[in-house]
Amino acid sequence: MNTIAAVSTPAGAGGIGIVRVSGEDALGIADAVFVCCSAGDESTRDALASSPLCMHFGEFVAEDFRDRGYAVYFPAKKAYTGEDTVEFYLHGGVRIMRGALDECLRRGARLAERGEFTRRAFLAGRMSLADAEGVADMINAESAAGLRAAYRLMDGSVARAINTVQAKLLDIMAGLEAVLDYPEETEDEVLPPLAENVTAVLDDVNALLATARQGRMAKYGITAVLAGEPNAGKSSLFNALLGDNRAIVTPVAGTTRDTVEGSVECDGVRINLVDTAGLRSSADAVESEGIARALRAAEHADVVVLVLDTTSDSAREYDFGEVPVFRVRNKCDLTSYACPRMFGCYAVSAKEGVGVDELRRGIAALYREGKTQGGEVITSERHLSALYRAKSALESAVADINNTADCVLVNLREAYDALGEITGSTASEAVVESVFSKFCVGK
Amino acid sequence: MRNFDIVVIGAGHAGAEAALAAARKGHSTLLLCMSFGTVAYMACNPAIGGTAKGHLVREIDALGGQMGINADRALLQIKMLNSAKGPAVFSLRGQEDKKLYSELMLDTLRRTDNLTVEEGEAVAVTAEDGVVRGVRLASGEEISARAVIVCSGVYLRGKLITGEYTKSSGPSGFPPATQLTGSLAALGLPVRRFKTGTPARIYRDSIDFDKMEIQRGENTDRFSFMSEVSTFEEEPCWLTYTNSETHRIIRENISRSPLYNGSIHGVGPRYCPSIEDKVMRFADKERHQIFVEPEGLHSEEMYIQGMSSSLPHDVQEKMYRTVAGLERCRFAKYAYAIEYDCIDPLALLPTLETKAVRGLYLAGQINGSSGYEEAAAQGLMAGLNASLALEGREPLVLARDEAYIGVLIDDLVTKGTEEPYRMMTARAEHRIKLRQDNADMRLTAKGYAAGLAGEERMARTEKKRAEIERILAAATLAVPREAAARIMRRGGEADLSKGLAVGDLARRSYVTADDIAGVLPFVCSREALDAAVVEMRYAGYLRKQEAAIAEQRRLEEKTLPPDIDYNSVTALRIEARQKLNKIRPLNLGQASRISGVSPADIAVLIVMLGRKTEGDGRNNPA
Repeated sequence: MNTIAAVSTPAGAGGIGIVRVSGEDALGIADAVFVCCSAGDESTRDALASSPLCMHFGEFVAEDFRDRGYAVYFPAKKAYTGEDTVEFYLHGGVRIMRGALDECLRRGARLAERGEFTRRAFLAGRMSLADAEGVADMINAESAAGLRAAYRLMDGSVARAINTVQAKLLDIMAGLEAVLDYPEETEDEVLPPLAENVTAVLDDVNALLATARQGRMAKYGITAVLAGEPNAGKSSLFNALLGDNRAIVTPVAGTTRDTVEGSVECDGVRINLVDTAGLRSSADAVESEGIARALRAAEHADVVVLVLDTTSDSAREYDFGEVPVFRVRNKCDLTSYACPRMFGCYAVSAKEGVGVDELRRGIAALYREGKTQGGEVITSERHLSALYRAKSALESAVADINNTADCVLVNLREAYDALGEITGSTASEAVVESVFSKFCVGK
Repeated sequence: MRNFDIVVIGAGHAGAEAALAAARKGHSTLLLCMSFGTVAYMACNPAIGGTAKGHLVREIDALGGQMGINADRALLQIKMLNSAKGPAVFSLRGQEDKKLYSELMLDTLRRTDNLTVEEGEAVAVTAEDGVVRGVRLASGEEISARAVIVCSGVYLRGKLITGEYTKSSGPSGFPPATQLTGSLAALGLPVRRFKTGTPARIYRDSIDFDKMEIQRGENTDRFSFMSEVSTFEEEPCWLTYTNSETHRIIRENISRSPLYNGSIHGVGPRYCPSIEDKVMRFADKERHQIFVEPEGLHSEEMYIQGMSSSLPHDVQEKMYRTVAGLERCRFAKYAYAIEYDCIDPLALLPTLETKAVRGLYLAGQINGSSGYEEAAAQGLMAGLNASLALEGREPLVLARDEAYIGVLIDDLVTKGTEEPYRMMTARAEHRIKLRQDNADMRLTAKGYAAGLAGEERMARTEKKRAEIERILAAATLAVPREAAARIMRRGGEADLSKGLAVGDLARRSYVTADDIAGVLPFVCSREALDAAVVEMRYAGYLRKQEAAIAEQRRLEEKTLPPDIDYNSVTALRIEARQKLNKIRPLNLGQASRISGVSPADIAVLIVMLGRKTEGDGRNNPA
């Protein structure tokens, strides 16, 4: 039974959010994404396995962010699904939950289908009638019509992009299969270079995966973190960015992070602003901790707005990794400093409202810049999960490309079927069809 | 009135295996054929096996069937196909002496206890209240039987077609069976019309073999796990090609092809295209391969593989004579297409029993399949399951992850087919596991438990299994440094400073079974060694497939009650309700493979099953 993962708490901001991972590789995935603080030399796997049903404090380490929280291991006999299960209790909120889920998917879990935890519970003989009825209601509401509607609503360009990738893969597979099933009749067939073609498909899948970040922006908005030294004017810029626009959603204060958040719509894109209040401490002793917090917030941002005070000449540089940085010189009303007109460089006056609109639009424009040429953007977690599995299968294929065709095809089929969960086309049917349409075989 | 446990109608490849399975299991069996000449007759190419089909022959053999043993005795040459493409797709193909094969099978049948082989035409299957009663012969005789297996091949209302000429006929001039179809239709079985074809047979002495390439066999292996490799008199095959002149003649006369002018209505197979199909569909191909195969040892007739056609005789003569080596060829038999009645296999249970009539089984081409091996495999399973049912025992249904036979039958009864169905390795999703080398490991114990595979076969299998396990247990042993270094140098690899386990060595593609034999601390048989090396080499891929299999298995184990009215399950989509009502899958796994049944529909069924189980529990007073 392969391993599935999903966010188990309702969508939206909450104090705590839970990501649940169930299946035989649950501990392996936990081992890859979570570091137990108390573990010492012991691996996370061993720490969790040696004390199941206990909360282990530690850090969730994703590709592009970290978060402190707890992990709990439920051995198969004690778990709801009847399989090894690990639950992560992290800080709530859409971005952390999605990020944590993505990381589990990247590490080999498959996104759970609607009701799948319960379905597994049933298959493991762990569900009562009452539970079953609950699932029935859910499926009645969700199934069929819902799925079809979702498919129809799916961005046409995504469907086209994935169909194109699948068609390329099918070409490769049909060539290999034709030769396996008709060895004597295909002796004079010249097949295109295998390694090169599989790598090209892998590149396509990677390009689609890269759009997922844009997809998250479309769905959940762009997260912009305001960072900078004390008194640079971050808070007034924060208020100016929100306040100029009437479409303020809800400024939420007082999360554990001591950050202030607020949302605003601009050019049809939602911007989630995060003011890193921690940086306002001025004493040197706590400055390092404050910067650390700001950096952590910035790690899972889509953009960092680094606020600089035009009137002071601090030249301190920060490392925000791969997150794009907008350098904003505030208080431009007090000097005659002219900002060089280049990407990500703005001169504003939060106090006077000068340049704020341009900055806001600059942030919103990030969404469009990240799109691929065809404009397709992966927005669905289900698609993302399928693409991750296709990627992993294709990587295995490339790594073992010199093996015999029967083995290479195991990986290619897996990739094809993963993509097929999006397009609905499965390998067995399609390959046979394709062999006969492309090759002149048969007696 | 004569009375038998089981009556088998038709003695082709399906009928012969069905009758043997039934009689060997101790049931009094009558096997009816139109004429003794039709017994296990190869109406098309003089060969058994080939890709995927070779797997089927090995599986038939492993279960205790006859095809492999007799094919080994009628060999003209034998070859392992795909030997460079990975053990999962290794496939044996044997050129066979047609006449000898047919005679051997007739002899086997006649010497089997409990089995009566008779010439006679069945015109009706009789049934009462949905249960089979027996058969009626053309002579008017009524025969009573507890089970009937219909293996009618292409004989049902067979119609032979070449060009403008059609004739009511079975294959190769044998008479057709014109009445049985009506009886099957009256029992509620959905009748369809399929089409297939065969190339011409050319007199050997009219062929100029100097203009062709010779093709010899390899004589390295046998179909049956019970056979030993020995020498026999080989016959070569010959390779030649069509050319632009051949193609021109076909194009100029295409309007005279019944396939193109619309006089053939049956659905033909894509994998068995006529030469006119190939030329019209792949117009840019400059030539097509033609294999010239002997019909028997020193037989005067040669089979022209790749030149199947339904063009008129005069066009056939012109086009055949454009081919190098066939310039002066004389025709013994012209190529023809044949149309025949068959039954939609969706009307069958996975045991090959019809859903409409208890005790009535169908096997072979009547189920929409094509090929001797596909037919024999179904015949064996139908014979076994009819017998098991009479014994009051559980049926033997092979899963898709257990055998190509499982894939074949599941495809037919779950997905159906719109053209004659040919087995292909591409259809087996668990191909790495379903190899021809391990058919005995996969199936002999099942055949033995079902009462078909004999003691000697079982003992051989168990001995081999023990040997394989011993070798696999040695996979973790360290290979002596010098031996490892020597083998790795040969593969162009640097000597490892650390020790290497036997299993690690086996995974390297350049390492042979002989290398492994050299580093094992004990001696073992060749076949066990080969099998174990494949297991070691594919360990990673096998694990991957096992994981997928385990997942599917959980669905297969959830049986669906036979009395569900899917129309009343409103949560199912309408298409799913219709398909489920028509096919009535036995379990969730089968349901999940029906086209038009979505994962959401399966989820609904899962919940429904949960409710039902709970409900049953309440109805049972504790």
